[in-house]
Amino acid sequence: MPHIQRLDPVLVNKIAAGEVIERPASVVKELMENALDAGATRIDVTLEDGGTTLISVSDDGGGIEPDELPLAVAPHATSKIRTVDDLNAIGTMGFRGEALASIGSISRLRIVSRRADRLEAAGLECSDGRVGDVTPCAAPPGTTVEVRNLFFNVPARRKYLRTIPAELSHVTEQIARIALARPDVTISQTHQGRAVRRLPATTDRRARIGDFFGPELANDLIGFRRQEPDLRIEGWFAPPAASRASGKWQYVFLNGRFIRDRDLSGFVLREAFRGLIEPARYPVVFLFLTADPASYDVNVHPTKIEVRWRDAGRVKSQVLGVLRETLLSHDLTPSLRTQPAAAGGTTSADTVANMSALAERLKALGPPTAGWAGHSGDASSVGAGASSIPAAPSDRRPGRQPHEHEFPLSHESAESAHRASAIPPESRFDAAAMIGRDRLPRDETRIVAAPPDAMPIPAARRDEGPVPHALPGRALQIHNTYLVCETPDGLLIVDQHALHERILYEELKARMTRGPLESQRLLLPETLDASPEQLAALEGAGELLLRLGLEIEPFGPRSVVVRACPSLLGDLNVRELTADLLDKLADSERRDPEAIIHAVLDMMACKAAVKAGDRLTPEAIEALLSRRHLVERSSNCPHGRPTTLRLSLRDLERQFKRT
Amino acid sequence: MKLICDRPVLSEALAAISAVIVTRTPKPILQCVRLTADSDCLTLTAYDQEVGMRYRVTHVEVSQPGETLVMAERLTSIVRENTDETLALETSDDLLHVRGRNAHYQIYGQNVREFPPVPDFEGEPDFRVPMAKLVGAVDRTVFAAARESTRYAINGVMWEWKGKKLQFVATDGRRLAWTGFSMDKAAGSDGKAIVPVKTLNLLAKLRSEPDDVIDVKLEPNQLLLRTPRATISSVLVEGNFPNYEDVIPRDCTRTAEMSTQEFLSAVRQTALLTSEDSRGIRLSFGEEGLVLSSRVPEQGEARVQTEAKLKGSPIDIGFNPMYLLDALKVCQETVTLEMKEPSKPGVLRSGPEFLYVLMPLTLS
Repeated sequence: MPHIQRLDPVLVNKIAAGEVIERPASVVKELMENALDAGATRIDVTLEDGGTTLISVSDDGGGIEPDELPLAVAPHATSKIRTVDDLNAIGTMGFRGEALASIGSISRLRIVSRRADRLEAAGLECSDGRVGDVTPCAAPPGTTVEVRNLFFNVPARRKYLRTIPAELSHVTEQIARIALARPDVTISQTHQGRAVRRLPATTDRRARIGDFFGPELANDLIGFRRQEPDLRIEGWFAPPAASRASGKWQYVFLNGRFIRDRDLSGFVLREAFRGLIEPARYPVVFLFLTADPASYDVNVHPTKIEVRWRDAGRVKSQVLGVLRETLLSHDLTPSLRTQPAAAGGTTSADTVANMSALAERLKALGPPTAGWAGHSGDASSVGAGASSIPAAPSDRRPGRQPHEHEFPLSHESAESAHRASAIPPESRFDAAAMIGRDRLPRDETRIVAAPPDAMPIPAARRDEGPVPHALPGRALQIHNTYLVCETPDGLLIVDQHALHERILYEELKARMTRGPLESQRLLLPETLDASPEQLAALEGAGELLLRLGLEIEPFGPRSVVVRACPSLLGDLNVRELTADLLDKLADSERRDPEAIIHAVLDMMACKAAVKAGDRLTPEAIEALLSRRHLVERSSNCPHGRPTTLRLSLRDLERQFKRT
Repeated sequence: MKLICDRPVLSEALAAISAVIVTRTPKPILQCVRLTADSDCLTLTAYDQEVGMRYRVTHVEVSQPGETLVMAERLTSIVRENTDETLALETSDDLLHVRGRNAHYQIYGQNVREFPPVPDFEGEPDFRVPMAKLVGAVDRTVFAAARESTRYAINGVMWEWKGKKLQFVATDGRRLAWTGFSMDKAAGSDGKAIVPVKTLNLLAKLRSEPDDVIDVKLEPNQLLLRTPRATISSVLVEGNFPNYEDVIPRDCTRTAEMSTQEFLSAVRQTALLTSEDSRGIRLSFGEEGLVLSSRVPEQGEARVQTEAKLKGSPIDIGFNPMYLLDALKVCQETVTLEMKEPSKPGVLRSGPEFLYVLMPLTLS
């Protein structure tokens, strides 16, 4: 039996390195965070072979005193915290005092640092855990850390390094996380001697997102912001149509640190985008949270990627709230891309340009004869719009991008401003002006015909961007599947099944809030087989079933009997619905009743909706389209498929080479 | 084959026979009608391999017996659009010539031998009933039959005959319609069969004279019906029809008697304010009669009062108005509605020959 003994410090560092340093990207992260903590305004990252041969991070930060250099590479030595109290209010990226020591034990490390007030720099080498002497040298103010031959003395780790492109992409991801968190820092990345990326410092996070991921993504982003008493939420998401097949495009930052929060990026984002994005697709979201450091604990994971909230439930619901509200207040109808994606330039921007162009043309024609009574931000309903009160052209405000919220900087009024700006005033006004000029005589009856009391929800929240999309003109059914209708700025193509399904789904959901669904009792109860798990799940689901208008009871040890089903299913297959429901009940681990209800409503809506291939009468088409704007999230069916595509006049003009 | 035929009679025959033909079939030959001319009669035959029909046209003068097989839709529209009193039909090689006074059509025929054999009525019938009575019984039940239920056996109307008693039952799992009557002469043998809805619709469409009698014969998995003009053969719906006796409640404690027309009208008026998710109407029976009410959230409400003679204590019960209307349309002058509780089935009766069980809705 070997004796117990204290481990050699070098060995301790190597073990610690195993936790913190997984691959070159981890080194980049630690070194960049050190640079930020040193107050850098510029960070240059230089790599050779994806970082496996060389990682060099240099900054213009405060620098290290020459006599402190040996301490910098010693374990548990740091300038970032001093007392236990500091641990409860961490304001720096690092604090554990482990990173440099760990890196030094598994690579050939060289630090060159110069404080701004000193004339010369000092250097220190450290290899395989052995620290060399401090030597004077020449360097600009700041610190440069060079890490060569990572894992040269840890063959097991070295073996698991992947290809250079793979390692490089990990490094890039780490740089992205820091670059997005700190747009105020200029960051450059060089690989194999070539400048890969240069991100100038900016005060605009969105510009940084654009610099990093390209303008196509950034231009479509929809912003949100809210100030809660102890949490500031801001960020951007891409319209649901720009969803990705991987969750990688969800960046959550807390006080400038990238975090991975399963509740936030899993539950909250999925919930917010439920029904807008197809399953197995993920929204693109950049979420920046600012919170009191005392309200969470970051000392959970060595790489500090996870945090533990003091009140996780509240954070979740606050984030979900602002996301939902922002999603609801936007027209998410995807634009039909008529140009190859590579051609650049985004359609939404074009639409805006198109709208303003039309506005200019209209202005040249003279003041509109009729328009919308409401000023921007006024909660005038669609019905009120029909009252044809002339609107003065001076109501016009400077143009805005429909996808961007400009918030006042004072947070007290942020929320009300948020609501007010939900409808871009300009596009709304112009749309109304167009109706006023060309379309009112024909459309007036239709607008008036829509009874205002049939729209219980304030139109201001429901309206999706330009109002007339909710009041389409003539519609044409093609291939008994799609409806094509004219709008003032182009045309819409609607998938009749997807739209009807979405409408039914929302109606059912609204219906559910008013009490249990109407239930038709069965003369011949249906019996069907059920597993013991399903029977067990059934026991706790009594209330849920009641709400759905279902009456299902166990019937012997291996079957159930259905005695009543929701009447709105009509002659639809009760057995199929029940079998699916039992599966859902037994499968859902957390037995979240809302999720089950969602799934069941989804099934009901899908089965009850008109199908592709069903011929619709003109009245049915009109009824379907007129209900479109009454429904939240009508741009996508409950499964997340789009219901509507938009083809703008601008797109058409471009295709026909009229411009 | 060569004959002269009364055009309106032929047109009617073709219309009846076309109802057999399914428009979408992988076998184009099944879209044909077979014409067979005997010495004094022209027989049209169509078949979808489940249901077949032979229709005899006697208003013909056959100068040369023979057979041909042509696309039914073509011939039907030619005969329908023509305005002459008579048409001459004649075959030569593959062609069928249809000649009117000013018109001459040549239709390419198919090979008659490829047409599948259609079961025919042979031997003695199991029972005979006046056609009007049988069609009436079908009318009173077929609407309640399931159309595409996974419970296959209820996709048809069950016929059951026992001695002199003949009865018909249909259900879709939510309501059940029953009708029955006594025959003048007992059936040769007892039997029961679930008859597909399509067959019954064919039968209901056949023209009949007041005195026409229909012969019915059950063969293994096959029902044969013979009227003076047509013979219908039909496969049967397989499976066990639910035991309908069990679902007819016998313990109702309340009975309301109403005029069918007034009740039907009141139900129609109340049904105006229902929607997909609020289908039901509420029937409130009390001392002062019947109040029907309905409500569509956020749209409106309806309240209609009508006369009803109630025996028993007042009751509120919800029903799908469509289910009520279906039945009321085939009721005699007065109906009674028997009820026990708001969650228990109601029984609608009209005369001794009609009974209808319908399940209530749990109104929200």
